[in-house]
Amino acid sequence: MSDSHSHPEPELRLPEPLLLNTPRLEQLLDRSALQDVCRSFFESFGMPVRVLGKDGSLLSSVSLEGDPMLFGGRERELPIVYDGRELGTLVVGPEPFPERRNNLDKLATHFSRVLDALLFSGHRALLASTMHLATAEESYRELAEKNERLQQAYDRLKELDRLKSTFLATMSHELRTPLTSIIGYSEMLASGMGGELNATQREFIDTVRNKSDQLLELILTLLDVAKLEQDKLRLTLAPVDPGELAIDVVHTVSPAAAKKQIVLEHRIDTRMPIISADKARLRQVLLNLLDNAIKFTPKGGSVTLEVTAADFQRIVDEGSVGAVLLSAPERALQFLVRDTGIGIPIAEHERIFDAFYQVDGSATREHGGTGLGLSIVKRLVDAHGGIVELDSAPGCGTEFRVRLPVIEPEN
Amino acid sequence: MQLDFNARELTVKLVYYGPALSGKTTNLKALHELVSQQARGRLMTLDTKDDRTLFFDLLPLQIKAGSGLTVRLKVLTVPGQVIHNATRRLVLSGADGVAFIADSRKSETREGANAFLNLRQNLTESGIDPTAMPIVIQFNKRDLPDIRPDAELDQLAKRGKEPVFKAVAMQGVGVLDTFMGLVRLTWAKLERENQLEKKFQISADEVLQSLGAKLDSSASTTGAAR
Repeated sequence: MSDSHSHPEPELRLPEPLLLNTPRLEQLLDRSALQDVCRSFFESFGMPVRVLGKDGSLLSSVSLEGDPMLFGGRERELPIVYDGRELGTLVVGPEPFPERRNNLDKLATHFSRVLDALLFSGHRALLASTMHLATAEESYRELAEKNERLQQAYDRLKELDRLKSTFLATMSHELRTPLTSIIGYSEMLASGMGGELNATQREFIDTVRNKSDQLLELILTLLDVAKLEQDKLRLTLAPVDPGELAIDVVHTVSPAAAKKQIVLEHRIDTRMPIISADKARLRQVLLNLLDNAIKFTPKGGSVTLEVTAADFQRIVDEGSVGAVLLSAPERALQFLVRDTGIGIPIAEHERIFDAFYQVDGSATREHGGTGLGLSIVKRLVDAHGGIVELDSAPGCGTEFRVRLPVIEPEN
Repeated sequence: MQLDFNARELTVKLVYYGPALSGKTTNLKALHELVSQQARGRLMTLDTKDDRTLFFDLLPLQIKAGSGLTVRLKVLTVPGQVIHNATRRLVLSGADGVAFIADSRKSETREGANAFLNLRQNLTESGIDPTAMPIVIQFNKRDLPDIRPDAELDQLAKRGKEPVFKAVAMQGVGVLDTFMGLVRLTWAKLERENQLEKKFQISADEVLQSLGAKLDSSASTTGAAR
């Protein structure tokens, strides 16, 4: 169909002439089958028979040797009428004996009825097969049109998604610039550059500082997501000691855990290899996971970080030939974060890695956060060639496992 | 409509439309029964083994009228099942008039409405203005329990512009009324567009009379329409 929204020109897609008109005799009868019928007729009744098309062309004929007229007998000619139309002529005979001419008429009528049944079957088969083809073509046309519309919608959504990421990046950047000034000036005020502050003023300016820092952190997170979505993230790979990194992160979050009276444990395999990774990004992964664990674990619960060596089975080309060869196990490193918190319903396991997705909006108001943490974790782990898995159910706590392939630093 | 001046032949295409199992094929069969034995052509059905229409049913009817003009009516049904929409659209294309067969049962009201919307959409997609298409509606299966009551249908029929008929197609009741109503409406449109009376001295009354004689209900054992 055309792009225009006006009514398209009525296309006659149906084999309309076929439906409304009567086909020619040749279209309805199979010549060799007709010949068989004629022969059988001749063998049974000893009567020659000929079937002629509308233009007089011979479709089928079975007769005695030689010119029939030589026998001097009489022939019976009947028009072949189907669906009110004359499609051809049936000639039965010659019948040389005058006393059997009554028989000739009966046989001609009989053959004419046989022919009518054959024509009807032929017509039915012709219509069915033509309709079948036309329907297949029509369905194909319909599908092709739908695919086209889907493709357009998909392209548009992709474009919108790209615009959203650009908007996010630009906005975050624009927000950050004035905020940097706010932080700078409040630092100057706090340091007494604008004159001595009394206790109340100092308290107020500290609050401004604190809230500005929180805001900056949020904006930086947004920038991260935008960068990740635009695939602009570049990892800076360097040798990293995973054990050391883990202990550092535990120290960072321990005040927050202590504040909620949460037991923070860590088990670190001491024989960890040095790996090649982006230390700051890996730190962010662990921080986000531990922050979340602490955030969603009630007072008196516990949060554990384990770092162990593990096998890493990356399934390559799943379902295709050679998967068994391509998917060899690799050496891997596993970071495991387990909590005794509220848990995540199984139905949500897929979606929690989407940007801005939160299992329960009310949890945000209670616990704070943007719904970006796990999306960043997923993207950073992906960038490192690793995988994130989780086990969780409501009320049973949550266990996140990050597995990274061990890429040993060069030299 | 196809007009063959040389053969002095006019071919008119009438389509029975409607939801699955509403009785389109039954209508055609009943109509076929009404034609006197000797004048009866074959009813062609293209169906599956469980008697559901796959492509269409075709009933050819033929009358002579006016100044030696042959009027050939091709009465077709569409397959009602939702999945056969492509076939339905193909059969519908080039139709001169449509009889919409609905199931009267209350439980089938929604199906009927959906099928009617589908008819409108298919007409529009084929470049035909649905309001310009001669359409009659038949509420079939009036003998079943829990049907939409007469009063309700009569009330609603007054508000639409199309003729509404009631039928029990299984018993042949209302089948002829519906068909004649469809021919009357269709002919009126063909006359408006082609001045058939002027060109061929053929009037609507004559066509209806000839058809009425051909579809002589007394020749049938299945009972007449009311």
